[in-house]
Amino acid sequence: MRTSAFVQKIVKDFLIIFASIIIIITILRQIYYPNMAFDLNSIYIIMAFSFLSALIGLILYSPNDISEKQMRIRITIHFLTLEILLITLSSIFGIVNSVLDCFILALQIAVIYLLVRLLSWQKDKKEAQKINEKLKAFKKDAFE
Amino acid sequence: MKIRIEEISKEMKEEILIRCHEVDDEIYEIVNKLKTENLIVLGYQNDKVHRIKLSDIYYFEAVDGKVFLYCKENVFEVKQKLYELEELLQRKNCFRASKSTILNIAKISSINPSISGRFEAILDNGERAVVSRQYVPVLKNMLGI
Repeated sequence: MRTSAFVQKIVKDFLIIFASIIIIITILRQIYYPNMAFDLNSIYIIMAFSFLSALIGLILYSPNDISEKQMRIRITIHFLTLEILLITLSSIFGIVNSVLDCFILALQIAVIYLLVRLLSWQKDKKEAQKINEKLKAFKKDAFE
Repeated sequence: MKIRIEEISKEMKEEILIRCHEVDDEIYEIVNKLKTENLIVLGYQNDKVHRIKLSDIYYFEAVDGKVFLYCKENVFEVKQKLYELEELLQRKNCFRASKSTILNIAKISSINPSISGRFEAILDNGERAVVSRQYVPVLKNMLGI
């Protein structure tokens, strides 16, 4: 991926993350705390962390081709950085106040991260299946 | 296998017919060789120049500013740049699979997803090559998906 395309992707990711958080918080506030007002400071904090979350996507970017092993190392670093970032954000907002809270949150992040990877892999598997069927047909077509 | 060549009159259409007991990998390989247009690429090895048919090439790879082509057992250096080869081979069933490789579709045995979010092509000779996500649509397009 070219650098310009990657920068575009990071900006797009930032907007998606920020919009998703705001939408979810708005819905949850509507259900549980309908009279609570949005604090401007909180919006800035969410905006900053959304940007940082998107920015750590840089860990997965390389101008050159990298091996599968190197990519897996980068994914691990990306995951750990994301964990630290989200736990820090939660501490600032007072969502986690104890070591146990931190541990539970870390576990939740890990499960979601794994689920996203797994779902993406499942989607890729279906795509690969389609490609393989066409590859088979491509080789068979040679006979007609 | 017995090979028979029969000369026919100009009015008749030329054809190649393979009569076999079973359509196996060997037959597929022969057909692929016949089907691929015989584009010739010049490969350099030990100060010798070799004329290599596209049907014998598995993939091209750029390493440290040099471009190499890989056949079943041999590796040759190519003087063209990877983007020049990409342009040249666009309509010859070859596609850019990553920043540094061009794969011959006729030599891909299967494609598998990897846990890192990329795809891996397994070639007929057992070698594996990475297919970047951004180039998967190119392959799909060439296969008519």
